[in-house]
Amino acid sequence: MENQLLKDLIEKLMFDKVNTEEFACLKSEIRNGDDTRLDRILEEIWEEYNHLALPMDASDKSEILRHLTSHITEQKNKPSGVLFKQWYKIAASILFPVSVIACFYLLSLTSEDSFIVMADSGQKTHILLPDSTEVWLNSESYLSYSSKFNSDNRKVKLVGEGYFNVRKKDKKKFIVEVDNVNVIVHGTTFNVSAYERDPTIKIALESGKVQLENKRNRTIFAEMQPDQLVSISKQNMEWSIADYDAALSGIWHNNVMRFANAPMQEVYNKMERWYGMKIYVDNPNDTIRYGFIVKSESLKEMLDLINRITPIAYRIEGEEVYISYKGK
Amino acid sequence: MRVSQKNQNKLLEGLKNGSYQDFNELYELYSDLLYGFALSLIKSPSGAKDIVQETFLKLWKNRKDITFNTSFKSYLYTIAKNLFIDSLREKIENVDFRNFICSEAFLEYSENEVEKTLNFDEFLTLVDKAKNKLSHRQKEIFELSRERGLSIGKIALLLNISEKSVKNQLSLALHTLRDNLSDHYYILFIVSCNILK
Repeated sequence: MENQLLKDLIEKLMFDKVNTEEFACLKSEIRNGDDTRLDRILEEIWEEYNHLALPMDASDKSEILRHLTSHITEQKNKPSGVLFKQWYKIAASILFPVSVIACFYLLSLTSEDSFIVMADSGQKTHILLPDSTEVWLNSESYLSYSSKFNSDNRKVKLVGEGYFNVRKKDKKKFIVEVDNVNVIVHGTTFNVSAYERDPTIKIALESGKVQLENKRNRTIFAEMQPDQLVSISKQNMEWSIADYDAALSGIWHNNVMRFANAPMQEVYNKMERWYGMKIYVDNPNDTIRYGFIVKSESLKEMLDLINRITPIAYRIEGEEVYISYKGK
Repeated sequence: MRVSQKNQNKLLEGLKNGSYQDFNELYELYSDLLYGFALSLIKSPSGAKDIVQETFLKLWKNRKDITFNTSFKSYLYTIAKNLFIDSLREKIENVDFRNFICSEAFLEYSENEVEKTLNFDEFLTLVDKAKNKLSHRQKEIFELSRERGLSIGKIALLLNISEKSVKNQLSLALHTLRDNLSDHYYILFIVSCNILK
């Protein structure tokens, strides 16, 4: 078959219609033809192709970009070179026995006295630590610290979300351990969100300065300025930094929940924690975004508000809410 | 989508030197073009998205090889071409794809403009959903007939049942599918044609 004919068929397939016979013809040509021929034809079509009739969904477009970003930063952080790898092996062989001993040592130290404070689902807890640092724990979060807090160290461990107002103390750093990250602070106000089911740790700095340390290799990988937000992937420690209204992320500690152009998913995740409920959405659609402030509104009032913005049908069964979006 | 050559070269230069921001801008400028082309070719949004992701990832990985003697658009093609060719080859051999394309061809006569927007992914979902309503046996027979293109005689031999019961099961299967695909009757049209041949 002439190249022109195959090109016509592919163009018909792409931009028009092919009937059963044409399809059979196309199939046998493509099956029997080599890549070079296909390449030449596709390249011609590509060069002529100039319209943007089929753009991607904005959400798909940004999702792919997110994937790309994470792949790219992963590559950047990957150590390279033979030398390093060998060094790494040697180091690992030495480190292994040391770390086993260290584990026992740590266990014997911490098993004595460690305090755990927790906030139940739908609850918030306000804690005053021995050094006068204030911590607000958001729903389903807990904070642990040793009895030696303030004498040996100022270290706390957080699972979930906490808003910290750290009292400044010379020479004694305050460290928040979240997953594999140490947030090192002197005296500042900031919010840390690291719920177990969230794949990322989010730290928003309101004032002062904090350093972020990789717990595994003990290196400082970022230094934050006020009104910045750092997101760190728990899985591979990739991170990104962005400008951010930090007061927004810690606002929950004043018993206020605020959304500014937030996607549906985020709104319901936060509402789940806020009200201590499980929310199921029949037909989720992340192109829907909301902006509103919640203070003392009840769950029902909130659902009615959402219903006014985007018509929904909902029913509350015990601790579960079922939502379905109406029509289109 | 209009980029001056000068500005484009600046972006390429940046990308070559590892600027993520310039990479980002090239993505903004060219991802829709790439997506539209891939979607036209393989009719599947998920497949087209994969191609976009793979291509831009390769673009970043091979950023040091960028040359300036062709347009960026042409360069993008050289990165994407193997993905285009492979996925076209894969689709052209796929029975469901054939059924989909031919159901579209049927559309030309039905003039049902609204339904025209159905893409291959949605088509597969619809057929799969309807297929799940079939009994195990019916599904087995239906797939042998539709996806493997076996004749009724062969199926009877293969399953060690009579030709009559193969026919009965198939017509029952068709009936169920017809009920479940009633909103998309033109899919059924091609499904039935294929079976009754």
